[in-house]
Amino acid sequence: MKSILSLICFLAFIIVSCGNNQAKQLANTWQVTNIETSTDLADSVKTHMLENSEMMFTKDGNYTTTGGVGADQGSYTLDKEGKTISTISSAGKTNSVYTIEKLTDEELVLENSGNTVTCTAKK
Amino acid sequence: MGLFDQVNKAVVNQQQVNDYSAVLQKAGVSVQGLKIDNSGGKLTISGTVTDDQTGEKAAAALKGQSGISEVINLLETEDLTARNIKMKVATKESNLNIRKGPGTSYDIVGKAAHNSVVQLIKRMYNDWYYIKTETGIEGFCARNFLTEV
Repeated sequence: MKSILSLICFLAFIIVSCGNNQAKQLANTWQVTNIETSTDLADSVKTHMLENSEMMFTKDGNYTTTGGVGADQGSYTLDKEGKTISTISSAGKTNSVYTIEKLTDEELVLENSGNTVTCTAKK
Repeated sequence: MGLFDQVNKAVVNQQQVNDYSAVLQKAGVSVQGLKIDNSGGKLTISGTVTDDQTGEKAAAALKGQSGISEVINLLETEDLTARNIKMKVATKESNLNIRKGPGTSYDIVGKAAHNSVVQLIKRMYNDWYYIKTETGIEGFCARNFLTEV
């Protein structure tokens, strides 16, 4: 019984630690470097959307996006397993959920509505 | 709004353009550089068509789609100047009237000599062409008095 409880505690610790690490990695300024869409867009449209596009996530749970991908700001939460980001935009209080396909110190890949945006951490 | 709202919007718009392109293709209409903006059922279409009739056919085909209340037709007729299409004035013996607009009710702005060669600028509505004569007169004339050189 004791060993089962220990195992549960250990697993819970791992999950929380993992989530904390994800939160630390996410809190950064990210440069949008690639856009993959479910329906092909003209190269000129993609180029325009990549122009000066950045996403900034702060440790206190706020985000700001700028550039061609869209200008917005609001708050975000990361799920415990670090697999999704939920956002609430300040403009109109609309909410969205993004799947984190990859998150490292260097790279962030997010998916929403079949479209994938790749970002590189700004140094 | 969200993290990449403009990307999602551009994709939805492109999907719509693709759907409407399929509708136009089915109606036998070809539009170069088709752009469509749908604002609550009010569809604005732009691009280039070969002639005005094709433009009207395109607008009519899209107006029949569900959820579309109005079609604002900003389609432009293809400018053929660069293609340098020459046409011969094929009247019986008289000179060809060149008019201000596409119809006999419009004023005559000049004449193209019988058997002379004119340049086709645009194919307009109702079998009228916008042409330019060798002497530089520009205007509309009936298609049935012109033959391709």
